Amino acid sequence: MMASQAISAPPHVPADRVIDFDLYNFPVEGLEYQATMRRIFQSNPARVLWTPHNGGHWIVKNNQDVATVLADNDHFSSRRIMVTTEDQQRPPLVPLQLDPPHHAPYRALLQAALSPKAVGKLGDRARELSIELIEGFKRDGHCEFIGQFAQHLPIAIFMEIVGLPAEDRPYLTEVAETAMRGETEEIRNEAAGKLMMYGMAKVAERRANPGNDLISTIVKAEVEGKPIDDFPLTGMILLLLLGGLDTVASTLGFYAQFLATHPEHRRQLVENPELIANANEELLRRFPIAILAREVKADFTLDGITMKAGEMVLAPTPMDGLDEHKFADPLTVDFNREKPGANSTFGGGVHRCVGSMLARTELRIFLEEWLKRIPDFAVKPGFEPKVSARSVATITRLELVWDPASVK
Amino acid sequence: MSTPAKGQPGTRRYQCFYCGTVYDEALGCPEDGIPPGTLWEDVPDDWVCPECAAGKADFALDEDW
Repeated sequence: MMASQAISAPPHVPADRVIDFDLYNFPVEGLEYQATMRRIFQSNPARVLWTPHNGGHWIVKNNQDVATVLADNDHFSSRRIMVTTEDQQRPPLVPLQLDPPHHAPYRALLQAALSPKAVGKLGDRARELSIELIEGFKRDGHCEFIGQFAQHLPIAIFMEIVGLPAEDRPYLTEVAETAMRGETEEIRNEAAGKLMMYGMAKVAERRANPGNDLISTIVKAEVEGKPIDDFPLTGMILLLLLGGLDTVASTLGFYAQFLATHPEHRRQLVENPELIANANEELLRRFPIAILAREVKADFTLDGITMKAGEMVLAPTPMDGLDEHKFADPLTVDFNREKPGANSTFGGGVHRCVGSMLARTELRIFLEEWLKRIPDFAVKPGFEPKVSARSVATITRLELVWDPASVK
Repeated sequence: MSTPAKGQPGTRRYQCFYCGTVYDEALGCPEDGIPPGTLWEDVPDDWVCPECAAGKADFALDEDW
């Protein structure tokens, strides 16, 4: 946040709605990215807030308003999804940055590859890979969780879906990290450019030699009776790479740090593995990583405030799962909580995350297979993990330790 | 009364795209006031997935069931 200084707002923004909040640079307390954000928003009792940072934008902060912004396509567009201008330099992420009905045919292509039926088969592979990874280091008594597990499991599965060679994983992981959270806009855009070039080279390969992977499916597909043009195709591939390479890996980091620092919760799952499915939903509720934004498409009045067409509004997913009016005692992780899955962690409306079934499956498999083998673990003494965040929050490194004699 | 054949109305299952929760016509969803035997087309349009709150339109027929 800025140092205390006068902050100005446009004339239609009442002074009591102004908050000093910079999404890309606010002081996170420890690893409590979500709880810190909630505390800052709750420091002002108003329902709709406005911040001058990042071009100036609105913020909604309760579960109903977050849901409204994400679902009301008449008033809110996903043409712009970041509260900066940088994504305007890139081709739109397709179908995420297309409004209905234009998004539908593109989304249908992804849905077929990520349906519960398709994911069922991928789940078997995810389990094999999880076991292989954990067995590989469990007797060492330590690991760097992000590099040795979180950036392996979901990314390897994703690479199989899109038919990319396993040896490209380290390069793609690094470039995606830079595209998402590189230090400057120039660096992030340059990395996004590298992802697009990589993706389009694969598109050219699949046009020449189509296979059974998702990129081949997209390349062969027709939308409105004709093949997809290179421009939307580039946006589709970029979305796949950014979504597939970063989000589950980031969520895994929050899961692992929570379990490493909460032995009673860990023990509960080790002794009651039947709780894992609900625990998975509860951890998703408690630790959303994606912060969504929308452009106001037509003037919209909420709580007496008019958001004007063309302005941006932040719909922070943590403000749904951490809304005390929806989930009692929301900061507490309770693996017996009833229906924790009814949250906006995966977004909402027509753009709800198309990969959420796969994400849920991979995260559940991590809990099942890790806790079976390494039931007790902690953050390495003296190591202080840090959160790095822009539109997606992540834990960059997580050194874990355990007693090799305790593994199973 | 004869039992409907598998795949016929009354025995169908619909699965949530986002979380995999299954709506089984034979079982209904009593916790949401939908009694056993309720056909999918009679489930209210504003019903949501009891686990993840996805909409009714986000469920698809499980053709393998």
